[in-house]
Amino acid sequence: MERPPADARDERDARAAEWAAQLATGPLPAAREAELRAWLDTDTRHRGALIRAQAALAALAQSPAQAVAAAPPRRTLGRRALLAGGAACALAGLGLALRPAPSLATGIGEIRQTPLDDGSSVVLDTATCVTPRFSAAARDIRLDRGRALFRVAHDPARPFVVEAAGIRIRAVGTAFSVAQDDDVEVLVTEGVVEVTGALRPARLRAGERGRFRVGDAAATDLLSADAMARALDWRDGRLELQGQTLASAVAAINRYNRRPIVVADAALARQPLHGAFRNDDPEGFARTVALALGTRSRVENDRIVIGR
Amino acid sequence: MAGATPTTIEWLATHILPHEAGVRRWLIAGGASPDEADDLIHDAYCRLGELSSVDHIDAPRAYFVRIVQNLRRESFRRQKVVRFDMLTETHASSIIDERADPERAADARRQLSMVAAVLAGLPARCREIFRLRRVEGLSQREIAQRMGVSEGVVENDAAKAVRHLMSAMRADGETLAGGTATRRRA
Repeated sequence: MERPPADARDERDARAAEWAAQLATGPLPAAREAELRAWLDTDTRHRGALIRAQAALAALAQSPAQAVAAAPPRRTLGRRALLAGGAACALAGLGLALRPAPSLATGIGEIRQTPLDDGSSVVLDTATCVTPRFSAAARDIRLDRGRALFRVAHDPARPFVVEAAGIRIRAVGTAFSVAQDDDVEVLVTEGVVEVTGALRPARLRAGERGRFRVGDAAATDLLSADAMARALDWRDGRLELQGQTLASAVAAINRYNRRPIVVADAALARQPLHGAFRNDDPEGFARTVALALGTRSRVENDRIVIGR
Repeated sequence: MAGATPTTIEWLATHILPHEAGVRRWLIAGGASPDEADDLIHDAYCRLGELSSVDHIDAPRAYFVRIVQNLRRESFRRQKVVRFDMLTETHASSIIDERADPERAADARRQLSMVAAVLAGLPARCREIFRLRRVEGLSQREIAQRMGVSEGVVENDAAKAVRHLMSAMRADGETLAGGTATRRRA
């Protein structure tokens, strides 16, 4: 393909600019519209050039204040989730006054932060259940299912122990998350924890992640600060993707929603994705991803399908 | 004409346009010729223009990059050439990291000053048209009435300004690519 002369690009831009300006005045007369359609049909790039010109015109017409005000990204969900958590806290507080404490649970799509009566706090991810059993000598919490982030109040006399699928995670004053899936994943954000129940005891420090299973060798790795922040994004109701496959993104989104997303073919499911998404909007996610991957999505009664 | 909705166009102006130069620079640094970069960017605008809603896009710049990246893969497939793709995922993640707020803000500032420069370089009547739009919020039709000129005159002036901005944006992306902006031929 030969490079078009420099003025071919300018020529294309000039025509696109003219059309954008005319469209901004109002609907085109029929004859002009036919002419525009003919121009769009002569070259597939013309449509993109027109849209770019329309955006350029909008940018010129925007007051600077408007452009700046619109710049920060919208992050409304996190706040909503925290407000919902506030109401839940009051209830949980009442429940925790009685010992043994009842379980704390979240439904599908719910993320809740709850204080514990020792001054620690816990953030429960979607479909999570934990059962605290606090006594004068110990702070035991069982993670029955799901994922939770614990921020542990310092109290050397009463160790804080989370148990999940036979794995015990012991902390003194620290913050860490525990997720129970095929295995138990522990992520330490501050301090040190001791993990027992796997093949041999392990210590995890801030920034480290370990995967454990009863009687099996543990797998641990060190996360960058960025990766750690991303791994905890679920607290804000956000799903941040940095090259994860569509399959794993869909698995993550489906944990938050009752209507599951399914991917129509395996090649599509292996596509890596980048970007940040809200995990409470599966339809929007499917639409956005389909567009980015050059395919379609459709919403059916009991599922959302990505792919043709 | 089924074009992009006004909301989508406003969104493109605010959230995508400021990053165009950066994406163009990144494409060229990754081995694309200026023309290939131009085509990919136009195709991406085309896709973005089809969006019926943009509410669910939290990270517009990352989304933009992702679309461009996929279009580039498609075009490699179409050309049936095996080619060393320099746009690896790690390469991409540096540009689409939405946490890089300073960079995003810098893109926005750069765009604002480019818009200001284009406006400043316009003849007086043309500048007045945009002042009426930006400051008084008048439509093109109202501006024509206010200034006592035909709608065609307003359209011509507006088109001129758009042309200047479009070529300034392209030049920004191509010159910032520096030495690597030289054309490559297979």
